[in-house]
Amino acid sequence: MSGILHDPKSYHSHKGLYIKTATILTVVTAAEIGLLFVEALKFAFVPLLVIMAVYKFAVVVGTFMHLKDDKTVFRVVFIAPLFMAMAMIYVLGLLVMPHFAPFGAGEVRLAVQKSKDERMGTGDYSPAAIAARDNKMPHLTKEKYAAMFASTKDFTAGEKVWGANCASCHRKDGGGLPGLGPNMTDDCYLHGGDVYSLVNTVTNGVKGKAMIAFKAQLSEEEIDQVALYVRKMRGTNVAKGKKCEGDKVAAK
Amino acid sequence: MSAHAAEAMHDDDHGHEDLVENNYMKVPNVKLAIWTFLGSECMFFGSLIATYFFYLDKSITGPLPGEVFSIGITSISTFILLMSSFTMAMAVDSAKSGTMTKSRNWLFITAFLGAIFVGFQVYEFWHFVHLGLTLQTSLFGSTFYVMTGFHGAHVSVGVIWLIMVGILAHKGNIPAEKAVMVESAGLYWHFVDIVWIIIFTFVYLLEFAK
Ligand code: HEC
Repeated sequence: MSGILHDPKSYHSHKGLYIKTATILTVVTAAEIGLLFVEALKFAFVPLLVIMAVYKFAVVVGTFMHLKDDKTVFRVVFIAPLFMAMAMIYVLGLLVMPHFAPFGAGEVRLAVQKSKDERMGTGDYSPAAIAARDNKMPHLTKEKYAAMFASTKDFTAGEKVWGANCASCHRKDGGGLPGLGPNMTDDCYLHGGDVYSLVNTVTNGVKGKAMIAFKAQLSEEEIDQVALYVRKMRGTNVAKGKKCEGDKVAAK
Repeated sequence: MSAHAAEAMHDDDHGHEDLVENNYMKVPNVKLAIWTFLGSECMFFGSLIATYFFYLDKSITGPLPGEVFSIGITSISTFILLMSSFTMAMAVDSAKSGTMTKSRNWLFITAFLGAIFVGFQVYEFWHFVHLGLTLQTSLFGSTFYVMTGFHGAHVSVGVIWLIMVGILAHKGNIPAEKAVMVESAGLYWHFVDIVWIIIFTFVYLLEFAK
């Protein structure tokens, strides 16, 4: 059985090496945290943090776990699945970051995304795009909107839709919630304050933001009503509302 | 060979059965088992981390990561876990040098540091729940709690394992030639630490780097 049972007499302590390693790990960890406070290096945060984490990983595995000098079979059974795991993370990551795909596959993904955007709503809020949409909203003609604006029935209906679907993020009174929806009672808009923009925002949502598209949940009429309600909140400036986000539009 | 001698040999064999080298690879079976297990753990945590990132920024309600994470607290607990890797290495080193009493002390120190880490995590979860983030709140909530929760569970299992090995060492049940018993607990412990190295940087620090 010789060779397998450990013999303490032939073992040389690695104490010095371990103390050195622990010191290095401490310094690198301090550098990682300290780095976040160096605004000047902000552009290099991600690569620097990744390099330091990989370095720490390698040091612990190589030195503390002895993988560096241990038997090959241990390296194989550990490193092979480690690479499989990294490959899995990479492939899954391509779904969210198509730019990193090899061999132009990213372009295919981006093209697919673009055509999906076209079907689902572009999230393009440039004045030209808004104007184009105005003309493409045949269901809400200027005359119909004027009639809605005058009626209390549509207003109360809009209030109801608002309370059930929107208040959770924009607050019951429209003042907005930190980290969530913006204030609807000031004169500031990120995506346009005219009723057509509002209808469009509610219908198609804001891509990449918490503001989801409501076209699946709400009928065309309900969206028109809630947009009317939002339009009428403008300028009411409720107390403790969130501060202005986006561009100021001319008051009422 | 007398019957007595044969029996004595048999006893001896029995005592080291779990450590007997793999005839083909010439390595201790326990260690090979642990490394293979750790390989599978790479896949396990890899999936959890990949899932977390896949759903990042896709939550429709807050609180969001940047609103709940606290860099101070997480840095302290990270440092504690990192230091526990050092004390673990010392426990293995003492065991291999044949000084089991020292090894026992390092084992208990390591278990203690691990327990503090778990304590920090319990506090963190409690705090997050009070900020309105639960397992059911959002994609961030469920992927975050499942990922870090499984890591915390691994640390807890490690603490129990270390205490058990420590007690064995204390009772004199780990002779120096069986140092691999301490070593295999150590390999698991270091693995749990490297998983945290990755989570700390990619989940916490990169959030602050935005
Ligand atoms: C899950 C949270 C959430 C819900 C629910 C929600 N919103 Fe929003 N909303 C947001 C966020 C976040 C924004 C800001 C998007 C941005 O930053 O561009 C926003 C923006 C808007 C805007 C554009 C504001 C501007 O400044 O241009 C309108 C209009 C709006 N929401 C209306 C609604 C209506 C109407 C409902 C209910 C049918 C609703 N929202 C429900 C989160 C939400």
